[in-house]
Amino acid sequence: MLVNDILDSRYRIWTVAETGKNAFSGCYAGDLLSVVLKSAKAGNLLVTIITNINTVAVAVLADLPAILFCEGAVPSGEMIRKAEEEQIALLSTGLTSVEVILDLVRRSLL
Amino acid sequence: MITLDRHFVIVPNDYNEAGKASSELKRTLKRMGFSRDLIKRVSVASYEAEINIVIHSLGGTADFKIIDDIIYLQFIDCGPGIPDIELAMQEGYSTANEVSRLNGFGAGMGLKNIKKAADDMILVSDCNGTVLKLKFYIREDDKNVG
Repeated sequence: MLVNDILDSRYRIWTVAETGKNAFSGCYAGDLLSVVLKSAKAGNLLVTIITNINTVAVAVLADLPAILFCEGAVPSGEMIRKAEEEQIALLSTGLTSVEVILDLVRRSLL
Repeated sequence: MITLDRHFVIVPNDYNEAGKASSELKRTLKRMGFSRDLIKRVSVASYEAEINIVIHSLGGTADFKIIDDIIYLQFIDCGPGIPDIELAMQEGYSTANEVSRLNGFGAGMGLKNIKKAADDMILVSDCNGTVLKLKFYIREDDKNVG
């Protein structure tokens, strides 16, 4: 699946259009970065509310192609710049993490 | 033969720079063609150790070396030290403050993740600081993969 497949009126992409072509497979939801590092699998979409710039570092280390911020959390300009440098897509939505996962399953994206 | 020798200064409470040394290490290991499994183990351990210095210490350093078929990571900080290492090694135990927790840290998994990832770990701490030494053995099937 591509990051662009997720996008509809409820989701917004913050990084350059090119990152919308990032492919992902499965997803991991979590807000504790050490647990994400331990459990997320390479290629997963990360669903979280943590907009600290370190979330990008975790995505780089765990080979996660995209981060989706839920519950209205949005990335800072610095975070967007860092993510673009690492070619990681940043998205956001007002939905909760559970609503995101249910939505992605319903649309056969997971 | 030494094939990697890097030194980094780690600044306390600088969340923006946290993880920089580990990200660079990961890129270097990838360039050197090691297996994904080895790179992940080294990167995870390095990141957790780096974050621990940022969150808990007064600052410190990280040194990465590859000598023959062993990757050595060494982290040294200037204190205040870990009062009870046994307790700190327990999963879920954390002394991270509110700011760190809001930034996604403080899961109490750091040292546990490091121990699991590394082939060998030595942790020494007193009020003057903490020294963490890690070894990762490069096996034949970890080479020339990437």
